[in-house]
Amino acid sequence: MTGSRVGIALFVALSVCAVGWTVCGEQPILEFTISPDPVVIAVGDTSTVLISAANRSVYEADDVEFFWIENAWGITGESVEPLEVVDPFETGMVLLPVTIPNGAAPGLAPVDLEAVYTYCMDELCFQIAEVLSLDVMIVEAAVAVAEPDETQTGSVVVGPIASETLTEGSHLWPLVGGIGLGAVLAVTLVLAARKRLPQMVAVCSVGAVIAGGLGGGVWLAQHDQAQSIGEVLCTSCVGIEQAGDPIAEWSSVDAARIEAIDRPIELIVFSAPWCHSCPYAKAMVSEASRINDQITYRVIDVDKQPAKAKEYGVVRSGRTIVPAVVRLDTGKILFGIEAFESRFIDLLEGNE
Amino acid sequence: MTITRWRRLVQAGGLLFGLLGFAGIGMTHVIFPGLHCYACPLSVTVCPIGLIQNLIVFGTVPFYWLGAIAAYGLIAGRGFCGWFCPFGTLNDLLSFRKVKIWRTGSFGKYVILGGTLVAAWAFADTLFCKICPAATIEASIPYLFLGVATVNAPFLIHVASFAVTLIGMILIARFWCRYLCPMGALLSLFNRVSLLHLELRTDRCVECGACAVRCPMGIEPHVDHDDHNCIKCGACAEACTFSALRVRFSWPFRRKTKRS
Repeated sequence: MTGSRVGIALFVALSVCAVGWTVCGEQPILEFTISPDPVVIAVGDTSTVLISAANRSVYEADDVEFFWIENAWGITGESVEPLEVVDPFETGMVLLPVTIPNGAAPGLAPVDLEAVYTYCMDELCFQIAEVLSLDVMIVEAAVAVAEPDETQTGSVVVGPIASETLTEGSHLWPLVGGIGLGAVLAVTLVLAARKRLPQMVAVCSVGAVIAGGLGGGVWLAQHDQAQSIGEVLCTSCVGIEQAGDPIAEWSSVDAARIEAIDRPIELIVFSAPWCHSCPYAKAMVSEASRINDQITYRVIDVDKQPAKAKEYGVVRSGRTIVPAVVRLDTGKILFGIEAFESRFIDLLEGNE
Repeated sequence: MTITRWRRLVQAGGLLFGLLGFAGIGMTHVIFPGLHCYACPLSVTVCPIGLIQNLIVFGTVPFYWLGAIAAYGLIAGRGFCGWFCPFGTLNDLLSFRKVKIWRTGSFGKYVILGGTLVAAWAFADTLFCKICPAATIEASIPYLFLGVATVNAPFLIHVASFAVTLIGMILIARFWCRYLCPMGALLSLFNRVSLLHLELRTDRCVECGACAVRCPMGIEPHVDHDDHNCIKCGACAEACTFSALRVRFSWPFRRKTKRS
């Protein structure tokens, strides 16, 4: 008896936490890093800072724009093209010009920037505004000849200082509906005593939850979503291997072997937006193609083009496996990212 | 035919249902009523625990999942653990030492369920799947032979978690189902409203405790016949000389059990 009650109480508390967390949006979606920070600029001069926006979520962030917030030093900069898309688990970069007006007093100037972007989770869209702070070291024009010491200017992670979440339209109803169904179920299960009437009510409300859940779910095409989640196997998801380091680099020995390949090789990289190890595979292949321009590749998203995965044989016993790199002329496939370097070079050097 | 024979037959059906992929059927929309890895090369159904973690990562409000779980809960509650779940069947086959249940410990499975959901949200990843012992035998090892997996750290973590569970199962009957299974935790919430039910006829019961001795979950059916840990396997009904216990389908509001 107490088991059900404790379990349900725990379950309800967790769902409330999860929903609260979702709505309040404390977790950063894009994590911004500005480098160098502080940036050293002479009076009347213009320099640039590199802003990188790392996407920590499974949905893409769109139209990332930066605006200057007015400050006492009059520091501002030309506006730049917004970052159109930052894919899940990837990092987008922008070079932002910073101009110090003539007559600004030398010294340390802590200024603020506003980053604005759009983020959609299925039906639920948010416009998120975040304030980033940047320290500008204003120096006299004559002193600015000396370049800032590279080793001294590390990058600093700028956390969300203030974030504002705006819900567009009235897309909150799935959330409300979900909580409603969950609440009916929880109350039902707690109150279902061994008496005739409460148990009749209990069976009816569980029935209502089944009808509402399955009906609403099928209406929202969640049964298709369930199927596609089951269909694609990302190698890091069930722990076949670990998600890779997003910083992909070939060692000089491997790079030389890639460079030595003297025939055109066409590759396809199969990936899924929610796969944690795919960005590594993509970055390594892209890097290889940069080293040797005979190597060309394209990326196929298996969520959007499931038929292609079948066509190129990236399927094992009904499971599409990502990440996978296919060499077109030999038809050989490399699954996953475990020991990627050596297996990739074998794939390139193999003849049959 | 005894209840155990019937149960073995249904369990074989559950295993067959879990492995329908051998017949060339692809992944379906069906959520499996038990802990059965969807990454398994022969699986045609979606693992409920794996799915809910993914839905949390995606921020989807899980209507379809909730409906399916409520349906399974209403049909049999934890009866799926005793009669259907392939991992439950493995637990069953290793049920040698039917020791008494550790009550406090049996809440561990709710903690694991809660932890799994919170971890999915906090790390945007399916962390439970990476230590799930069912995934060890259904995904890690098969993919090793299919040439997708290699022996690496995540593989060894899987093997270690399976080894620990296996030793647990041998030493304590249904160790995984009693203390750790998050799917069992979900289904046990429905035990009191489920149609499949362990019925106790108090007029026949002499309180000899023969049922408790044979219970693989280590509970006392003659004291509390709708314990949240009851998997409705019917071992107690077989043990009862006086036929005071029965496993059957009935509407919860039509039952006449007197003892509370």
